Amino acid sequence: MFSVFFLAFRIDSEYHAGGVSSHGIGSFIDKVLGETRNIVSNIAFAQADNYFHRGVTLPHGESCDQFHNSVDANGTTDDIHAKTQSGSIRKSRVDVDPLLKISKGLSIEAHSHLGTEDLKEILPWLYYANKIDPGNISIYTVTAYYLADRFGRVEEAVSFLRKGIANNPDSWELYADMGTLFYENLHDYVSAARSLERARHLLEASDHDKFDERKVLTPLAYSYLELGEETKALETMVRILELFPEAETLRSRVRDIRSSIGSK
Amino acid sequence: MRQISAMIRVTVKELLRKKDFYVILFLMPVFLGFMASQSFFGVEDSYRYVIDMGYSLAIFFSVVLAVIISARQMPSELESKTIYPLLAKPISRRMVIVSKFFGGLFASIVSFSAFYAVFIFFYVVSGPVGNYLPLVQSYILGVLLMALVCSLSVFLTTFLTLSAGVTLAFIFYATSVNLSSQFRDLYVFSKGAWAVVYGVLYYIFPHFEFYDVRSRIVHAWEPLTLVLMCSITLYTFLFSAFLVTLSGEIFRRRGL
Repeated sequence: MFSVFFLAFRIDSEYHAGGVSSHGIGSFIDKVLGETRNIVSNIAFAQADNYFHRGVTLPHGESCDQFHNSVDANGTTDDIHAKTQSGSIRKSRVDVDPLLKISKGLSIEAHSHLGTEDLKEILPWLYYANKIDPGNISIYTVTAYYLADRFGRVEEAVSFLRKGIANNPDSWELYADMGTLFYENLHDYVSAARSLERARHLLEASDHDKFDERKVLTPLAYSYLELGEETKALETMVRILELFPEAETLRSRVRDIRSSIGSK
Repeated sequence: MRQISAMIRVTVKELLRKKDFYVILFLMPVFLGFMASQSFFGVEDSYRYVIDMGYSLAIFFSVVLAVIISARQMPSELESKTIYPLLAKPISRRMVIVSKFFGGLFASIVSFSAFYAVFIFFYVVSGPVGNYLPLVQSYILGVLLMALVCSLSVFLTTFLTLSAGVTLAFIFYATSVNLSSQFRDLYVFSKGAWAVVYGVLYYIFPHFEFYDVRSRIVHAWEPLTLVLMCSITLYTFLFSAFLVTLSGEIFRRRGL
């Protein structure tokens, strides 16, 4: 009995030594939920989205615009009704069957978002989603966006992203968001450039598309400009132009910078 | 009638003697109070999730107690053999089942009312008070939910053991609440023979999701229409009456 207990203790210690959070509520959640904590965290995250839409869950994979466009002349957005309109089922069944009529009557037939005053209502779910799974990157980026841009709590957003980076040191998304916050909200261009350079380095080592790269390079280029490092800014902008040759505004900006460097 | 009221009194007394009821009644405000006192990322006054949790806990604990109270009615009588003196009285077996159902139902309504009062307290204290009508409707629907849960539990335990009946009742409840829209879609979008099969299943399966108006309360949507409330009441009456009648018939045919 003693040896089993000792072995269990050893396994637990080895497991936590491997980098999984080992104290406080994080450790408790690890023990209770194990690997399912990612699922539970995503449920809490989805609940935040559900609150944002005032309790109306969008049909799977449908965006706000798609859902909004399915509203008919009577203002009905009920999914049964929307599918009925497309002719995929017999409309008569929904309108005649008493149980289906109750089900349809209970569903909320509207599409709206929380107003600015009520946006704070999504924060508890984001908070708990993060507590449950500190490795969920989307929660950091979404929460930081709301804190900085919608609540004006930039310091809170920075500190939350710092926590995210501590838990996920290889995430380019978190460094990119941190850099963008420094650039746009705090106008701290030195810190912005440092974070974005780190994001660029991590991005190169991971799977990404050209939009991801632009997300990092654009604020990086403008941070360099603010710091007076025109050569670095030019190199970065040229890279963006390679990815998006149709960006005419950027092309003319590159031309300006080139002539500025040439005249010095 | 006298037998039914006697049975109700006994069951309610049994509930009031149960420690579980008081433990939940004590823990619920402690838990909600803790949640209401939290601030997130330095932003205070988030109240909707407190209301959401309050409503969910009130319904969840009420359903748990309703299942346990109602499911224990018949098996405990059979186990302790107190069913025999009961059957020796001038009371039909069907009436015994009806009495057990109403006993469980009243005890469940008492516990639900107590939990709902805690929820209402936090609703009023936590945030801006909106329209009271959805709250009244939600209470009525909660009472109707108790009727459906009690009738299902009594029905299941007339031919299953206590643990099997309780487990199956919880499975029915969880499945109905979580997968109702999938069941509905299967029925609505199927064709031919499958439409008949899914239609029969849709009608046989109890619809616990009809009683959930959480979104209307938490996000301040408009209340349900009177026609809809009457439809749900009628559905509950018919479904519960069917289950209790069927339970009475099974019990009548049972060799004791």
